[in-house]
Amino acid sequence: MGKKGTEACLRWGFVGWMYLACAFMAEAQVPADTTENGLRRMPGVTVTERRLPASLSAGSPLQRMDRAELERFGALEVSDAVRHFSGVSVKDYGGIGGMKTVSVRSLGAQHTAVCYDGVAVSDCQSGQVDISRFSLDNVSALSLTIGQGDDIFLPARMLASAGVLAIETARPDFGRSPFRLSAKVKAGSFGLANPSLSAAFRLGRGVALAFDGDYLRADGNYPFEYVNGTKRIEAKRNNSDIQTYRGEVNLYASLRGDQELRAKAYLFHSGRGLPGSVVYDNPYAEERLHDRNYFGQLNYEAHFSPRWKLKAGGKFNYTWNRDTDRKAAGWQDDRFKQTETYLTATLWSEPLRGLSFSLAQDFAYNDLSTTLAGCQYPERYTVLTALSAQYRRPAFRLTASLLNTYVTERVRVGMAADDRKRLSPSFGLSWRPVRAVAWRLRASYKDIFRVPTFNDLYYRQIGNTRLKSESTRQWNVGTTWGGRISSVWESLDVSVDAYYNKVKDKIVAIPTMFVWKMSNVGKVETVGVDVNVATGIRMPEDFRLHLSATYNFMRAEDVTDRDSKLWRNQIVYTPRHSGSGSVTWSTPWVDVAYNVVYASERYRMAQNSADNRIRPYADHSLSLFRTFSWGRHALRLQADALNLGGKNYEIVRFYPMPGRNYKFTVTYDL
Amino acid sequence: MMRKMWYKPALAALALGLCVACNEEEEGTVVVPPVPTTSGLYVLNTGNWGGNDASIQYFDLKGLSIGGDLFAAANGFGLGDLGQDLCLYGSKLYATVSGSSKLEVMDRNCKVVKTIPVRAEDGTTPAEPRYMTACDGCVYFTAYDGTVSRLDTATLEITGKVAVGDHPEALTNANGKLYVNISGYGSGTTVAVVDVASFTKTKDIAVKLNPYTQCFTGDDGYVYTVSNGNYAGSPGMSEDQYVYGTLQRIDPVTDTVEDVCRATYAANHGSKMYVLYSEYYLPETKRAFVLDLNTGEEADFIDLDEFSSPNAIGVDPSTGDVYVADVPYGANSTVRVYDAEGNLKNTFEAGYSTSRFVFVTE
Repeated sequence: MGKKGTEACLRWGFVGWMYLACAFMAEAQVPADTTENGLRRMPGVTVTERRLPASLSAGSPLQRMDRAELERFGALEVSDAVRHFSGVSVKDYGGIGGMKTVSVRSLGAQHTAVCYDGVAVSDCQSGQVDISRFSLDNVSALSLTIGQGDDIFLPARMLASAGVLAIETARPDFGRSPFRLSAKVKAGSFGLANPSLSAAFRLGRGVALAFDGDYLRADGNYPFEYVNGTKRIEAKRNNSDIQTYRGEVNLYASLRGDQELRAKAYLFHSGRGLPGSVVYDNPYAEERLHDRNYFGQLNYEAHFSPRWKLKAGGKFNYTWNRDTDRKAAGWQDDRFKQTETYLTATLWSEPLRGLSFSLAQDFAYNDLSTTLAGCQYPERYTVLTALSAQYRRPAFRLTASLLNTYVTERVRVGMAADDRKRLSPSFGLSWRPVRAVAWRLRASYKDIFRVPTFNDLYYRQIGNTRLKSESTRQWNVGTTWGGRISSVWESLDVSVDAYYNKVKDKIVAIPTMFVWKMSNVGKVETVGVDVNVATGIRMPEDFRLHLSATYNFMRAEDVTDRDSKLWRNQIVYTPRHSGSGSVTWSTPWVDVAYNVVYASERYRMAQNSADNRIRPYADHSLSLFRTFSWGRHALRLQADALNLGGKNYEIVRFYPMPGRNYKFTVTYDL
Repeated sequence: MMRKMWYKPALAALALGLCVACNEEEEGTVVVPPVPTTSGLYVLNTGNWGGNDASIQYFDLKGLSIGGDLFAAANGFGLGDLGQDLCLYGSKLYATVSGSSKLEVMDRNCKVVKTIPVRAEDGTTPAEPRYMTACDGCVYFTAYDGTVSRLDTATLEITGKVAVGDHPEALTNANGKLYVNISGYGSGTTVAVVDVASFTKTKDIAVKLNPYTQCFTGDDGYVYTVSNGNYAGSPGMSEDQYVYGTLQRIDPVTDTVEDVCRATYAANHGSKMYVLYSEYYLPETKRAFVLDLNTGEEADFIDLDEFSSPNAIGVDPSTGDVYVADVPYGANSTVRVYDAEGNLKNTFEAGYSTSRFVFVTE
């Protein structure tokens, strides 16, 4: 589309953003001024100054759901909550055992880092993380950062992705009790049973030990209906059972001199059937996947003075998978083993008031061995160095980072890919033009890339060691406003962002006469708008209403070759319009949460032809819950009806989603 | 209510598809478009893996136009997942549908006469039928259970099955024998020979590494097979280890093998062999040429740089025109039609992964 077109796009985006910003100001400011003028003039009272969520002051889009919100929302799985984030699409292969990955603003799952308690979860083989393996039970907050975040006291790896989904687990809050106990049982349709137990003990001043464990089983054999022309297919998913065991031990220690130490050991075992896609006239499915994942991580943080902080950590991860299938040509049994050793240290200082710097140094070692013919046993050494600076004034905040990446690889068989070196700049700006109003403007830019995965580089025949990194550039401009309209209308938070992404050297498998090869062929241009609105209304007695909604527009088009059939076609699995809505009505008797997620049509293949179209869907769910408390005991009962429409809609073509289904959850806390 | 809403648009889409396929017909009724028995060709589109989008089209040589999915129009539903091969024999068409693991027997309008699920010995494991050849009143097809099956075209019953080797692919018949490429999923080095009369495997003939999708009987009576080699030029491979993609010729009387030329795809017409050749790691090898089988002379044919990824080649036996399917990433195939000298005559768009042209010659 050339430079001229790009400029036009940016201009369009900017004009749109200004318009929205103005429109919103006009709408929101008028009532606030008229109804609360008197109050605002009172000294010391700042009615509009509710403590604002970090998402509204951030220099680039940040979305966060803490425990209270997750509960209010009725979310049971990590993916349930993530689907409600703006600008995010969760690729879901359906059912409890179906893989779920997160893509931010059409960039693809491999550009999203998933971070568990401050340390990135990596998969050097596929480059994408299945978020269905994480339990929401002990999660205290989920947050999603797009582009340059505001927090510069972070490991370098947190800066090395286009988006970061952070999962934080809860540190036990003991109150006056020496221990905490929580037991939960979740049961639901299609044979779901999921008991979990967590216990935490206070071992001394500032030392605590917490155990979490859960077991999950499901048959997942949900019925679905398909239509092949005039032929109606009514069947059940088969070979869709799953069993998982998860265990986690956390040790927390607060040491003298404002130091914190946290150690974690994690275990995950699972065995599942892979039902595969629905293949006409062939319902056979015998493929099974076994996963074992263990990791241990250590995090240390010290605040030497208000001006000096240090963070250091390490992780060792071991992942083992076994993939078996019984085929006509014989028994297939493939095994994959990967490890990661990761070390990080970040030093932060604030030499001048408001001006802070951080230097982060990360090192990672990854290796992969498989039983596939022609396995090259790749090893990768990654060195990441990030230098960040932030300047804060009451009216604005400016953050800038420069990340240096150095990757070198070795293989035992054949040839390794060349070394990679790259500097990646990013910046974010948040500006509050009017002091008395919680209205902010923000702008951010990030230049980042993803290194090809071991599959991209070394997978039998299809892999290509000559691949370049897939690079992305993200521009974002936005505005946020948060405030209180009246004593009844407690809060109203709004953010509107317009963005422009450019992806270069997209890595895709392309046919090359006889062999399929991973290649750097694609260029993608994305123009989008994310709108988030959240509001809370307090009603008489103990009634409360929370409403939130997101709307996302995403025009993500292939701009590789003007003469190709794909020119300006929307890229695969990317809805042009999507959104979510949530209503929670709290009453003294029961809380009712209604959630909906919507996505417009998508395409399965790069060419936007009718054959490849996937229908739009809306997924509605309803949750009822209530917590009973007596003494130190609390019992929460929750009932959920999911996918109320009952339609076997598809996120991934030929992977039907379960129809209407139910879950019941009982949680006991002591 | 939900149920109705679910399939109504699908029916509407189908009706629309039918209208495109047969524009003069009434709306909403399943009417099979008449298929001329002369001057035309069937185009098989394999479709995408797991995409349930295999299709068969008909290219009319008189009107020079390609129709919609003939199979869907004739039957009201799609062919299935991965249409691997198409064979016209007698009054019927046969399609092996690999992903759906079935053999469709159709009349010439693609109306299904019989659907035969293809299973391994245990009766449940899909055997994924692959390629076909027909002779003496039978259609023979390979399948990934390592067998060749025999279908009696009169009774449409499978009347025999013979084990031939690991991952058998393309096959042909000559001199009362079947010649079957044994790919070994990339590691095979043989062509299996099956005696048609006794329907037993008689021997393995050694060929170059990885005989795969190309195995046919030339107009000269020889059997031609392409071995795809070992991806010559792969990083870390030394030149003496290279096994190039090679067209080989088997004498069906003596079963001796000789190399003909380097090749990836090949199609024969009279004394001419049209060859497309490329090694991914040796881009300079990419070329299309015509080999004169009598003189051994090679002449340049067309410019392969105009293609994204050639996937099939076929020669119309009556006109000598050459059809080459180009399969670009993520998009429908483009078929280019050339005369015998390589001049572009025509271009049309087909479905996904066009893999076979079947010419109607009567």
